Amino acid sequence: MDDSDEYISDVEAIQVKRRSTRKSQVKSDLKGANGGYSWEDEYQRSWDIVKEDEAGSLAGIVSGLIESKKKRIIKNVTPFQRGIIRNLILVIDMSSSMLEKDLRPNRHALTITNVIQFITEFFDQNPISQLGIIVMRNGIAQLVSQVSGNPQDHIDALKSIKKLEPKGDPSLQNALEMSRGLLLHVASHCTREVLVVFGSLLTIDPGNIHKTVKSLVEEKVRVKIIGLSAQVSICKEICKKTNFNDESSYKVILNEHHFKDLLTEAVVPLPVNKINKSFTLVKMGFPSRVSQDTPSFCSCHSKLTYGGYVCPNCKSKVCSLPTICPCCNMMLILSTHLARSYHHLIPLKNFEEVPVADEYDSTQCFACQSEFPDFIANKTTSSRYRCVDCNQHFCIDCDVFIHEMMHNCPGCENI
Amino acid sequence: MDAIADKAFTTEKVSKSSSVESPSLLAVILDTNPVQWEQLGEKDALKRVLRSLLIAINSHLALNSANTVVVIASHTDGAKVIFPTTSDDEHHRQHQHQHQHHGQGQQQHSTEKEQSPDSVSRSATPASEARSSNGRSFIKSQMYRQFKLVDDTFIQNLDSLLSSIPSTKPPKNMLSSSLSLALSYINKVQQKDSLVKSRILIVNTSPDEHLKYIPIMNCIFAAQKMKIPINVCQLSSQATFLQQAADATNGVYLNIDNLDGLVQYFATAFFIDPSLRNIVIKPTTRDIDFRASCFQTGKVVDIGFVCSVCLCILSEIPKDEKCPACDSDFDHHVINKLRRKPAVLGNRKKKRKIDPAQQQQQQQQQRQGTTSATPTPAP
Repeated sequence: MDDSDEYISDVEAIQVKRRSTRKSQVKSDLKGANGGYSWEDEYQRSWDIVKEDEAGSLAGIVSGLIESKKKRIIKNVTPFQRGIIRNLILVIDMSSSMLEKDLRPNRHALTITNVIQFITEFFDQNPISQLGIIVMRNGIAQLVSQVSGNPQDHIDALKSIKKLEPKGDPSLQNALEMSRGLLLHVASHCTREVLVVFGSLLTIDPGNIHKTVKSLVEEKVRVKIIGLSAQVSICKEICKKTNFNDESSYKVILNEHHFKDLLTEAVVPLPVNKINKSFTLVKMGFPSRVSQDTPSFCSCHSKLTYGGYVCPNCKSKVCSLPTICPCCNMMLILSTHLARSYHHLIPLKNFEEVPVADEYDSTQCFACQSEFPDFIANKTTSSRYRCVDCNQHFCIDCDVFIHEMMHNCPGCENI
Repeated sequence: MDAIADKAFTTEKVSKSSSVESPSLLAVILDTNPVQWEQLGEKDALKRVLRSLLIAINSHLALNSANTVVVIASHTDGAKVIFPTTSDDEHHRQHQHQHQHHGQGQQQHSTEKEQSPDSVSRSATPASEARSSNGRSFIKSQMYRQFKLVDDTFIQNLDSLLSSIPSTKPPKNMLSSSLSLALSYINKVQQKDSLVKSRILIVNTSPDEHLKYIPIMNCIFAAQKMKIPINVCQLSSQATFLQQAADATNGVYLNIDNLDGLVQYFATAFFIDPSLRNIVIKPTTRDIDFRASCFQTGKVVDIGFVCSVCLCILSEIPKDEKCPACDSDFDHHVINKLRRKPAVLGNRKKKRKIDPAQQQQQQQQQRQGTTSATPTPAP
């Protein structure tokens, strides 16, 4: 049982690798290794790569393959001023084109699954942000989930529309106008963003969409579009105009994996643009948690509860954080919520790969204490990744973990 | 239609039935700052805690033969994994001991005086096989092999760590580093076998260190994401960060004054299985101080001002209307709005003046000694 599982995962690994290489090729102007288009390239068979080393062992090459599949995301680590307090309207296409089966099981189902993941991730990394969901169906825009900071509400709403069948045509203008209305009251220190997942190649609009785009630009709403089928000119224009002539916010997916990547990209808060500068102080309350022996009413649901958080401003009790005090309208958060966003502002430096050498001064990973593979025969990789600040060596697993989950280097903390 | 399609393509593995006991990993982070242990003011504090801790570790190992332990010492000059050790460490340690033996005559006296007297039996170097020495008297040769293996290495490594000459650098709190190491280790183990459940137990004596706020918070979020409970056994005064850590990760935080009953705590409160945590009422403190500290003055505040760019917390509005951390200029209008004093008081006075009858009534009531109940919005 276990063996068969392992076998599948190996095959997957190779497939992932092939996919990622294809992706990078397509990115570089759709050119393959031979200078031609990637589809003109010779088909690369995964079993051709595997060659025995001098000792007749496959161990070295296999572990090298496994390592290369674990992608290290090289992020841009220059610290930016970012708009941490975000207001995002998520627009999901639910027109008949979403019934296409080019994404498994179909575009609609995959989109909903991915978007649910996106929402958890979004609130995980932007705990003081707000989000609302709109669907485009039958030529109109429908509000599925009100703008709020509670991820569970959104996920429940998405689960309920998963059963709904996509129908009719989409209308970008209606959706954008509705998002504009939802973002109208947002304070100037927050960002106004719209993220559209667009599967169609057309939009049926009641009026002139260019006017809508113009008003979006005036109100500093930034639109990001993820296309599911092919590039559409109007989408490109919307993105370009609302993002200060930057076209990079319009992307079309290449495969399922890329779809996920694009959504993950949208989780990271946008850098504050120089034109879009409005820095302020925000008054916030840091309530302490209390537990009571006798239940009292909370001010958010009017229910009897045994404990909660007490607003330091008006002393009313709320059930959960972060929220806006229903009594005095002050933002109530935990200081830990703020701390969760710090890694966007102060990103951890990328580790660099240790160049291949005959001898290394480390035998084990600094973080997980596992020994590095003995790669005397294999000269392709050193399997060691070095932190530029503390010079400690890490294995690939820890490198990925440190940069994607933990955001602080164990070596640097140890000095 | 979707429902049918969904089932066919779900690749998620069906989780194994819960009746099969899955192995679990216990990561122990032991604070070994000698100064802090000394400040506890109890005789042989570390030794007593270690006795209880070893029993706890042994009982963890006894629960399931596949259970594993990792012990990390958070020492003054860095975090060190003291169990399990790799061959490299072993070699290094032996080398060190040989070295120590040579210079024992002069060195021992000086080091012994420098360090706290209640650290583990330093006089007995592991190489000397002095099993009867008080520190390891409870590790017996007829012990269950698994226990003996763990306990021996644990004590030996701790011994060598504490007997090493302290560095000249000022001692630091290495909690963030130890937590990072523990999480990396757990991550590796879980990658190899996703069924392993993990939890962290921190035995801490040091107070909070505010410089390490962000790294510790990062660790807490990583643990939260990986669903690893952080249990905290705090032996000295309150540690706010660790309290928050335990709360965020659904762990247990206990502030223990009396070292005598420690084994009871380890065996009960800190040993609740993660799957039972929702059912069992945890013996943890409910009231948690979530107030933040001002980045500029260090004052603890419950209402603060937060810079929208860098999220630094300020207790008061800076005079130059500039963020002290990221140097960005604030919007003048908004600052003025924030500076404005609340206008509520003035309105109230006016209202009272308009209604003289009510005022008289109030005054009468006050004379009678009963305070009038001013209507306030009920929470």
